[in-house]
Amino acid sequence: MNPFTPPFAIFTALAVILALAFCLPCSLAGETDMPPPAMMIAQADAAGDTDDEDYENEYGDADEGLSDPLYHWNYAWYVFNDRVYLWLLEPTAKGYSAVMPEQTRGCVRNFFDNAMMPVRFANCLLQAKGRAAVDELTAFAVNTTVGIVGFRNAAEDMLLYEPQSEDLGQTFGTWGAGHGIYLVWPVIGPSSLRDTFGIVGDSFVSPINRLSTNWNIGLRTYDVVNDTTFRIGEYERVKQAAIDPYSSLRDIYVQYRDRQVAE
Amino acid sequence: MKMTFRSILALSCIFAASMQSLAGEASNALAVSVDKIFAILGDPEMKGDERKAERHSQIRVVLGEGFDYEEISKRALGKEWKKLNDEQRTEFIGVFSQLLENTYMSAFEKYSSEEVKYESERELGKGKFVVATKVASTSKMIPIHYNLMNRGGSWSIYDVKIEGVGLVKNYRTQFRKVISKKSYAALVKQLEEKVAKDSQ
Repeated sequence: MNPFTPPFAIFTALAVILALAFCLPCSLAGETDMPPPAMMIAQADAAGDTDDEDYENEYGDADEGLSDPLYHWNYAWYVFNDRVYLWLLEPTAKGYSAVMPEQTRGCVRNFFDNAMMPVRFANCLLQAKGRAAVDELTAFAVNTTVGIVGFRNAAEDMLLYEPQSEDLGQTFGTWGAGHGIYLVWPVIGPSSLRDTFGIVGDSFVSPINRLSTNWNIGLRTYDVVNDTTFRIGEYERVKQAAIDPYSSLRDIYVQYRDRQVAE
Repeated sequence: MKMTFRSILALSCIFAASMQSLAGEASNALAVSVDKIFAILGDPEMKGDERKAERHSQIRVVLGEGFDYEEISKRALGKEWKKLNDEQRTEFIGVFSQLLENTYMSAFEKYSSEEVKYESERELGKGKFVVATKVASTSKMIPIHYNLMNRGGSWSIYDVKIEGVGLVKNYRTQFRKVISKKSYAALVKQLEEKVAKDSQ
């Protein structure tokens, strides 16, 4: 029925590997367990003069960053995703945004954001973020009613509520799990062992997964295309700025996720 | 909605005035550079493709004043920096700063109409500060943190973090990979080729 819900046997096996990932993050993940950069700067400064030695502490990279033992697998999917994005997804998004006004696309995005509330709510609870959980519930109630099933983000206008992205990967992170290893998945893109388990776990809570396969895939695709209309050109700029795009993207993923976990 | 140059000027004056009262020295120094860039981009005489080269050379000057390219290069290269002689260092700073300029230039061309909100300023010690700003894009507010240091009264930016992603760290990762897989010379060559290609 549902392609995103794996058989339980596989899930149990994954859970065992995840347990291992919790035990091994320090040795595997390298810098990902370091405190946030700002803290490191403070520490480095407190430690003494800011000479060259301190830079090494400040950026805390004994190795190249997140460990990447599956480099060839990851690189192949990186190339695949690059083509899918540039040749298929972005042209589709461009065409779609040419016929669909920005306001409508904003409403569509609000609708999907609102529909995914259970995932964020569950993770707020798992991270013991009481205030954020209450905000999520309030925003959901307001957006579903006043905001007409979520098409308008009425809560944000009224309550100055800023929806925070929360997912299971971040929850594992706040519990102290490192990334494990870097993983690139087709279509999904950059991820890590930890965040892959997060995606699988979140899919059990996601309301879209309650729908039939066709609706599920259809709506997900629509959500991705709609979202892409707000990011046209971003990927190209990242690539243009990079001297080694693959390792740049990997680093961006790690830094971005570490900040989300720290928040 | 199109803003006239005058209203942009008026707005930036109000903005600059409010900045003085609420924020510290580092934010002020940053705001001066940011406002200069917005002034160039907002100048009606500087618009259009035919004025692109002139616009870019003016922005390049502001960026050169605002960024400490030597400090950024040093941090991005890490241990490798110590192995270089003065001549090599100058060469590296030259080519890397061009790459950074090109990157910023293409971002500015895209985001000329965005507003910047200065949120907070925090001292890290030893004359270093982090200024937290937010920039409005089409879909959301993007947090951008600038690291500035004060050297003998003049401020310069030595790192930028966009949504938590640090510029120096990102280049460090890439440079490390190229150096370890190939060599330092190969890195410089790759940078030179990239800059030459992007500048065309």
